[in-house]
Amino acid sequence: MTEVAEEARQNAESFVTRFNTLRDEIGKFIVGQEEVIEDVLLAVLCNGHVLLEGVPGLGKTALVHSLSKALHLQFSRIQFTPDLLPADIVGTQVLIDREGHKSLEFQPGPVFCNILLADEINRATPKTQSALLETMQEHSVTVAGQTHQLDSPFFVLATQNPIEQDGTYPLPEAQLDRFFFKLLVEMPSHDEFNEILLRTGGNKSPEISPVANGEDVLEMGRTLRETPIDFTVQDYLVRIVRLTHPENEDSLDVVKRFVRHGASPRAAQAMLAASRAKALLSGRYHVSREDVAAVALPALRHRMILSFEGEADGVRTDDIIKMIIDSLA
Amino acid sequence: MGSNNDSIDHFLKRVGRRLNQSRLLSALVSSLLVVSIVTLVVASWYVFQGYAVNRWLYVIAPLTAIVSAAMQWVMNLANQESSAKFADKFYDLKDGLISYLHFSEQGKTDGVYELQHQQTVKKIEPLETNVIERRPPSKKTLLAVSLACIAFALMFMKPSQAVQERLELEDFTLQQTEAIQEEFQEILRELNEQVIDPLEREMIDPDKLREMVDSLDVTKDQKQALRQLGKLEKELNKKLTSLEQKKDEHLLSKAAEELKKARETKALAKTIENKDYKKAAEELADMKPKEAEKLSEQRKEMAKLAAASKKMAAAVRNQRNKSSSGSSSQSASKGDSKNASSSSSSGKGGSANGSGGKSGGKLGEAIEDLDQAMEEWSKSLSEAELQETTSGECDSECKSRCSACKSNALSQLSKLQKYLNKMAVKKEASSKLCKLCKSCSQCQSGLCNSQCASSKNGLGIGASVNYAERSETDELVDNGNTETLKGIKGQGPSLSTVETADEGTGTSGRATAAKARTFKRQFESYVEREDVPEDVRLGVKRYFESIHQIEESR
Repeated sequence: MTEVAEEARQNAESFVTRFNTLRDEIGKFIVGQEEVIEDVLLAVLCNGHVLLEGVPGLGKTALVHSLSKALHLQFSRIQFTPDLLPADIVGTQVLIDREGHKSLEFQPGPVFCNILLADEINRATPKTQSALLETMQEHSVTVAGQTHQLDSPFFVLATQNPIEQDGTYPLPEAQLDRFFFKLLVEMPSHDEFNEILLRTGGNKSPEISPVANGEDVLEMGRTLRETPIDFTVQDYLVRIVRLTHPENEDSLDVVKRFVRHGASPRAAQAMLAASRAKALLSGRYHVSREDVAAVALPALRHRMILSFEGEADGVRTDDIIKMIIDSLA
Repeated sequence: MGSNNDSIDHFLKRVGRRLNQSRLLSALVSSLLVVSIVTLVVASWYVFQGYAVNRWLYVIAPLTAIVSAAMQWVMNLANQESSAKFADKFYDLKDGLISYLHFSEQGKTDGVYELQHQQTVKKIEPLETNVIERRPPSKKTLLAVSLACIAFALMFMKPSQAVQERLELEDFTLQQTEAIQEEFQEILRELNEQVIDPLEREMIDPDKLREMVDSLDVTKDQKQALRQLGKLEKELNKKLTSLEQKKDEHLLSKAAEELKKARETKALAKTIENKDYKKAAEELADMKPKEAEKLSEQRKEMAKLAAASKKMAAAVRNQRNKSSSGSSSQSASKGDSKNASSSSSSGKGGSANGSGGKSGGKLGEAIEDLDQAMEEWSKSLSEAELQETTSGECDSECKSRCSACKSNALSQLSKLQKYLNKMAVKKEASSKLCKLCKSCSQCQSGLCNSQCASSKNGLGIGASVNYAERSETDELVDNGNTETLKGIKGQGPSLSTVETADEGTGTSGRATAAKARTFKRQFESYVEREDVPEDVRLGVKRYFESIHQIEESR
């Protein structure tokens, strides 16, 4: 084995080891939700943001909190409310009197962190929501004509409640597209319920210790991007994304009927990165179709905009994505 | 690394081989299934139509199955890439082999690609290619074999009675038409060899006959075959009609009767009676007077020919008289009859009478010309003899007249000879054509008989048809039980209706007298027409005269 190969092998092994350590560490506090934890970690390693959707009390905030602890990164939380202003998020200029000399100084908002928890993001007005656009995409904030760079790594982990729709503002398509994954946090099973009660019912709650830092996360990101993908597999990925578009001739009838907009190239990028990570986690040095199919749901479900007919019929984007994958099998 | 590469290549080759074997089997089964279905459908069609299934179908069907399977197999032959894809799927290698192939094609072999390669090698090491199924899908195979068996079983089904008979007939007709054509060709060949005389050749025209025979097609269709033969027979009959010389033969037979009466012409008469016209011409040539100096010798030489010509001319004259008198008497007797048909009969008589002047035809003319020439010659000889007895020697003018008459007589004789020769040739040609015509008829009857023979239906036991015809009409015998059936006036249905006239006065639309006058005028004008033959005109005239006579007598 050549040195380069040996180094690659070590990197891959290190990636898997660190990933598993992180997962295990988070798993100390979060009961069940293995898939969600894995996907959140994948998104974080791929330098992406995650939108967590679930009813209150399922541990979304706890998950993000645990993640920040395990990664030993700076964590901020913003509780989105209708009266929240963009300046409350990104920061504002305040007048400072320094020894009689008054000047406007930039006061950074909670967005200046490594992990930002945007709790109940859909409760803020679209104006406030869109304050996150630049932050999420460029990892920077521009206030009063001055651009302030955020620390790296930077992740937004947003949550939203699917059942309380009164007084909420659905996220605009542009913002949704910036989320790497949209994860659905499901209700825990019977055993998991018991386990949650056992772990949190006492005086002591599990302690999360930091097992990685920001540098590790960036290195892991570099490692996963080296995982090769064959052009036939990549072609498969592109076909999946293209088939989400109703204007595509080859698209399924269900797509043509119920989908208004398909997924963007950003979705394909997300799928590629995530499938690479999946391949590495599976112990492989190449991406397979299975990896692509496995990440298709969280990467595409929020990027496909249903038509009025689809919304009225209660069609779920997850079902459409599964049909597309089945049609390519 | 090299050995690892080899191991993947070797593995892919093994997979490919196994895959090809499996695909060959499945291609065979698929083709067999498709071909069996098609064969079954075609065979069923044959059976439902009442035919036996064509045996060729069972030769073509397997060949088609094999060829299509081979084509399908060749088109789907596994290459390295398809083998890799198959192996990835079959062994759940998660696109390992296909990724490796493409990476190595792109020359990506170091770092993580090396790891990918090693991983793939490790994964395929324990794999066995024997697990790739070579068996074709059992349900499909079972179905294909079952259908093939059913289709094969249909091969042994016999055709229906009607179809069998028709096929036999077609077979028979085919053989017959072949045989007929061969037979005709043989006859034509013989005819060609026999016909040497250019005149006869011209009459028979063997080339045209060959064309006609060549146009006969070998066919299964009995009607077509009969139609062809009928056409040929019609053509032959037309030819035969053109060669007909019954009148001349009749005239010659009458001449022979006359010739029999004289001793010196008995031989000629016999020859003519035997219808050996060529020999008759030769015998006539033998009668040609030899050159003689003396008048008495000349007369002696010409005596035989003169007698013959006289007898024959007498026969011609008799014949002409007979025909003219016959026709006149016939027309007279028919003229007395009171029915409408008399006009047509007298017409016929008229036509006979009309041709009575030419009853001898060219032959008659030739005989009479000869007779006349002989008489002139005899007269000139008598004059010369008279001159010789009175003045002791005949002058040159007389001699030249004699020789002119002689040469005229000889030329007339040669004309008659030629005519007889022509008749002989015609007779010969006619007999040959007759033979051909007869074979044509025989062939037709042979074809027809086959149809009769093939139809075994019959009328059934005890049933028959009486074809006996009454040849004579029985006279009605009055047995005295004659009753006159009378209807009762005013009762029963009547076919006639009485039309009531409209009220008031009016003129009758039926101008009977005027109509009668118009008809009469039309008839008269018709009778006056120049293009109406004399016989017809005479017949119509007599008819009207007879009507008038009846009216007057009333």
